[in-house]
Amino acid sequence: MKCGCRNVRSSAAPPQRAIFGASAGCGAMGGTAVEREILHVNTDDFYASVLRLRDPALRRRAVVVVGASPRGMVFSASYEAREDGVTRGMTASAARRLSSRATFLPPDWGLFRRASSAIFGVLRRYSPVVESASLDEGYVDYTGCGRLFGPALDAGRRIKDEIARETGLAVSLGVASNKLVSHVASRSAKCANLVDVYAGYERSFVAPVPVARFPLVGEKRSPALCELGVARVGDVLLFPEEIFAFCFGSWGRRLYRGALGEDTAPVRTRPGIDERFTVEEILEPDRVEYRFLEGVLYRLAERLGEKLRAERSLAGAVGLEVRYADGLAAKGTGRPGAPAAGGAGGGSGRPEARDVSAASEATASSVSDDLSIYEAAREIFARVYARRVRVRSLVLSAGRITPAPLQLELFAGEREAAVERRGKLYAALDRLRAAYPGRAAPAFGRALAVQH
Amino acid sequence: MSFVHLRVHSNFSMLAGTRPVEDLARAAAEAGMPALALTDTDGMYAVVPFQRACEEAGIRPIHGVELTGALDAPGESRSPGSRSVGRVTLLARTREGYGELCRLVTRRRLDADFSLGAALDRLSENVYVLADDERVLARLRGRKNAFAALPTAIGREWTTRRWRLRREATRLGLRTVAAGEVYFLEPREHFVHRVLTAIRTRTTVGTLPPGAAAPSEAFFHSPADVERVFHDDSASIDAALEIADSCRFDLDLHSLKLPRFALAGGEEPFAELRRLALRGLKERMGESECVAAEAAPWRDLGAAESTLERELAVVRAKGLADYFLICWDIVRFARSRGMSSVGRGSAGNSLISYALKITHVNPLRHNLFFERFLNPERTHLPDFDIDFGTDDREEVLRYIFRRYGAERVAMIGTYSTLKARAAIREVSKALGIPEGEVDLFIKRLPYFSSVDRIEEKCAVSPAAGDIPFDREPLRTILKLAVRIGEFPRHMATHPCGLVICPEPITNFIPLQRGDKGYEITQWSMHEVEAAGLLKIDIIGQKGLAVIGEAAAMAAENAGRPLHPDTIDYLGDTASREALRAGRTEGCFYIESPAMVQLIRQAKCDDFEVLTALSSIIRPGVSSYGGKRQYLHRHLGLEPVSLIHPALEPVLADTCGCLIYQEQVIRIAVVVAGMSLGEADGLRRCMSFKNVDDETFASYRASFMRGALARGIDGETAGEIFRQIASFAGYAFCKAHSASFALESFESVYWKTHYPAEFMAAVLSNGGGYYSQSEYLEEARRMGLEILPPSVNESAVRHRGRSRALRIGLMQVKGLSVGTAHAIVAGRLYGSLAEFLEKVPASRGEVETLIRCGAMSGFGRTRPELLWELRMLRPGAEGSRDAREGGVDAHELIRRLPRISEYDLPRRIAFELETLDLAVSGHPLEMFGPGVVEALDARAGGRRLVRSTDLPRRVGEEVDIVGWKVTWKSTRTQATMEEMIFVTFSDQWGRFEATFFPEAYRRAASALIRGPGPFLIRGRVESELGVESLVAESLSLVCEGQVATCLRA
Repeated sequence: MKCGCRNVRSSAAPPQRAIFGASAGCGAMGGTAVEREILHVNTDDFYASVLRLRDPALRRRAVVVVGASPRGMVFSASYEAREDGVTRGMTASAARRLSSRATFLPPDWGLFRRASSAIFGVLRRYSPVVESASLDEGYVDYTGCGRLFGPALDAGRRIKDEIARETGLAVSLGVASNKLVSHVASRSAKCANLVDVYAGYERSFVAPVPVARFPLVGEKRSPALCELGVARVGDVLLFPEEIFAFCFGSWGRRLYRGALGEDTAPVRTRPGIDERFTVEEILEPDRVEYRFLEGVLYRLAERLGEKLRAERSLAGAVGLEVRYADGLAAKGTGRPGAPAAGGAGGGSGRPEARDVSAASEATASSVSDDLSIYEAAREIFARVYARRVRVRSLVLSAGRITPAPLQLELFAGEREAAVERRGKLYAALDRLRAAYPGRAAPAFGRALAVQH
Repeated sequence: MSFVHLRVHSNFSMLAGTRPVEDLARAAAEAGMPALALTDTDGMYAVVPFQRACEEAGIRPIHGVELTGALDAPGESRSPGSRSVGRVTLLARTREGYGELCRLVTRRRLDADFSLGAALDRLSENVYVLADDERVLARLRGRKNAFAALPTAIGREWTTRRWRLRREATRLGLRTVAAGEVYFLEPREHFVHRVLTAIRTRTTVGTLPPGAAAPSEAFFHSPADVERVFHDDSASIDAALEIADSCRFDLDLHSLKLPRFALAGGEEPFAELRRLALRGLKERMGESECVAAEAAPWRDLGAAESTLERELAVVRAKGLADYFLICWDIVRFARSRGMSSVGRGSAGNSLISYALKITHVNPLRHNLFFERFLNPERTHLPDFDIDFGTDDREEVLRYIFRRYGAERVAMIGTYSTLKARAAIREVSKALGIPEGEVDLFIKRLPYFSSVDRIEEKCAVSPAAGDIPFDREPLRTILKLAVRIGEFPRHMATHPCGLVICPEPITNFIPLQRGDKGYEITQWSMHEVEAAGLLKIDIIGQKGLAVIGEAAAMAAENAGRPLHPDTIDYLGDTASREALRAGRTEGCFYIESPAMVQLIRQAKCDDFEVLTALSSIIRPGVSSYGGKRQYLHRHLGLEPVSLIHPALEPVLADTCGCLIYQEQVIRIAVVVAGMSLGEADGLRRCMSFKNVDDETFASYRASFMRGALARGIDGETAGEIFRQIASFAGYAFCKAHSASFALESFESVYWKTHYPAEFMAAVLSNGGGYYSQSEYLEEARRMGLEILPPSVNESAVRHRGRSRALRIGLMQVKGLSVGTAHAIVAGRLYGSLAEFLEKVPASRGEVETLIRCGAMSGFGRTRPELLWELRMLRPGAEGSRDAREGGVDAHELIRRLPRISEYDLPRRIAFELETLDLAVSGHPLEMFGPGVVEALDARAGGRRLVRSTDLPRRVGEEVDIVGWKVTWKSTRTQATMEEMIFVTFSDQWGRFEATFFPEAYRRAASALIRGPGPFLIRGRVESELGVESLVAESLSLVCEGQVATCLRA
């Protein structure tokens, strides 16, 4: 199958259409509710293909994208390298051992982003509702757009052609009535193909998919299911739904629905709060010194504070993820002004998801100033940084977001006055930083040690 | 002006000090110090090496310790769990003071409620106390032997500190002394100290807890530096010198300190020994082997008695009667409890040991002689090493503790060093480098490699040759690892050494708690021996345990006692047949691939030859060509030739080859007319590499003189001397080989006649040379039926009965001992629900039991049982209903559809995961029954062969698929390059493959990655009728590739 697909891709042949269901499928449903039409677009071998655009000599050669540090992990491997056994997440040295023919390249993020925005630019021509799941894949809610651009299948074909023409990249497309099935469809369409799943045939389409390749299951959870005699998605339906719900809770229920080909998740156009109020610092090289890491934390707190203030928001919770050099991570949350609150290491990492006890509720407050964020972050850091491994990156996020009040206190006391003064200071600092970005920006001493 | 450091830590302040005592003593001597104190933290591990190092450096040792502990007694502290901790330096002023320190350290180590404060209150005048902690000083108010220790460091904060301490000392009526802490010699070693501290505290150098590491100033300040710092306070320097000067006593490390063997009625030990030995000899002479029909000189009781008397005279002269009686008493106790024992080592040369039943090989029959064990010229104590079954050993130890008093007996400690792999791993952790990053390199390091010169060693190793030691982070890691690799890391219990003292041990050596619960000495075996204390090796041996368990199981199955003592093991025809065929896997000492090959080549089936083979298997003998020579002569392929006819009587038994140490001694006697004692001295001199040239030359001269006097010409005598000298270091003591060969014969007997019981015992005792899974394959090859573990059928241990082997519950990974016993106690079970009701097992344990097939008797398949378990014991991922019991789980179980059982490959995979054993079939069967056929294509159109085909394919090039069983690397004689012997197995049998250096280089990276399956190509060769594969290439057949092949 892989070989055949490669041929199709290189020789601009018309995409194959996989037919599921009878030709009269369109009218089969006949209901009154609007049938959703979702496209999942997935760029084939995105990172390697983009690098090949930059350097055509890499064509047909195995390409492995590895982290910039000498001990980096494999970020992406082209199909040719994957044939040699190279997989995402393995160490560069292991990959080199497996594939001596491969070319190893560092990521070129600027190039990747440009290619990605070009692809999404094409997608947005066809629908205003486009969700970017990552740089190289996204969903298009095509519902109701048929009157403008014709049936989804035709639109898909045009999207493919336009992307190929404008960026030189090949994409696989899945068309279905929901996000889940369209995702499965585009995966099965690899490479450079298009698969359309007729409404009403979702269930029979997903049934033969191995659970490990089903988006709801993944590599981590599939062994447990296989052990229980559930090797393919269709096997799920051999059991009563109650059993799945009983044994696996809400996930079991979702899986059961997924096996029926059902998914009600909407296509989201705007990134969630999680993504908007999250800042990350990747350390190069990996570091272990406590002092230095605290400096990095302060800088992150500054960046997060700036974002919060820019959106006139306050954070009621702070989350920190410590990513170690070996790929493992530890997470924790805390509340500014209430140092003892929050869960232990390995928590969910999403501040909103945590229950905070009433006691801490009383002392905690919502903040947007760097120092309070930093203090909360440092408290979490002391709690979760427990392994004897260097730190590769720190991710700081804000949660429990509330809008900042515009109204000033009528009977302001000394404390409120101090808060106001500090607010003015930060506002001034933000203006200065905006005016003098980079090294020249004023910074607190703590963060100076780690200034680039 | 002079100065003496009084608070010095060596690397025996484990994972804190950065220098061995030798370096410290040398540094002190070079700095012109007359003495040096060693004050390791809570330990006096290095007393002996420190004393020796000081003697060598020409300075005086001061023995001391830094004691830490809670200042208040357990009841005194204000809040529980927050006792304030302090530390003091104690120096022994007199011999009594030294004993006091040993006892204090022992209490500190053994007593959970130890209070440093209380100990200080009771301290005698024989000990000096130095402290730099105000709380401690307050407790020492007005004491003449107490001092405030002033730091010798330079810097303002230190000056302030000294001022504070001086003021405090004046207030309390104490004197001050210049005594800074020393953890390293030079300031730049501070980083090494920090790395060590990070290893100790399990942190990283970036995240050390405050106060865990010594300050950067804790280096060895020179007297000039100290003088500059104390220019206004010479009294403190004088105090240091005064203390050093008054710590003078002689710690006797030279005389023997033997315990007395207490006899009822105050009988004289020697008389008792003689009586017991003579009586025992008569008994031994009455045993079957001695009363056989043909007459032989060794069957003459009169001659035996006179030999015994001669030995007794030496024992008496040496004053060792108590020693013999102690050993006799231990063995007597074991025998009275029905345990078997084997005296190993040179003790087998003594007829007294044989008569006392400490050893079981008759020295007269096998030409062994006493002088190898003990002679008048010998100054060291002879060694008694006694083996017991693994479980019996504990009982024997308990007896010894009871018999001699717990305060006089202790297990000997042994300090483990980091060695290459652990050093590299620990340093990486201390630097915060992820394990995965260094693991790949560590796995490829040659085994048991010390860190020293590791780069050179790796350069010649095909597996490790390309490790980038010159690149970061490996370069820094290695530099540090080399520095600390040989440092002691912690004290563990020596596997067998035991010390018995005439007075309480803590007068000489501090004790601490060992890892196995025993009290252990803070000195290792070498120091204990050097100090003249009595050391006995009580060894737990699996071989004896296996024989014991197999015999007991066989008797139980037979329903009658089998009397193992009365069996004629050496004469049993079936055993001899099995031995000749090399069917010895699982048998004591003769199961390794090399030994099996040797036995088969030699067609060995008798005791004398097996004894010789047990000796020539050793690397030394084979490397000088002795192995080949012996085999060829033994098989009559080469004539026996001797350098001189005088050697005939000595070498006749071994086809003219030098094999045993005893032969070296005997040659010196017959060729040079040396006395046996002198000849043993010559052997020892030849065996130990560190003998000085002068001693060696004098022995040589004496040998040559003697030979000439006996009419042997100089050239021949020189050649004889050269040969024995080059060989002596490799030789094995015959008495030892013979003791082992006897036990080997016993194991072969039990394996041959009670195969299921024997293999079950081998598995239960954790096997020996091979992995558990290989022993199971052997059982399968023997035609035994392998039964999976079962909650209704299995015992805790493995059981064998009439050619069927039932896997025991002990094999199930993660199953606690308590659960295993609860399962046996609560049976029978009809369903999973009933099992869960009766047995308090965790969900993980039950899951493992289901996976390994132990519950397959319930009439449900494994996946069905796993679903049932999820419903009966819902985990965290279950719904709220499941957790709160809102839904009837039994009703859901009834609605569960039928799910088919796993296929064979999956069953084997699960068994390997949960049992480390493939019960349902050979591990290769995991890859589908058609693998062999499918791989034919990869073998270039040639058909793959089976291991059983090899004898018919001699001289041909073949391809074969194998599962790695074991391997052993060695070096070629010509180029010293590394090569490797690998044992593989397939569904039909086992085969050996040799990878010469070039082939090894090609195969190395694949070989280290798991057990297989491997596709091996090579030529079948046969040596002396035994086939093996000389491999040319090897590749790992990955699961995916197998699948691809199958599809193709």
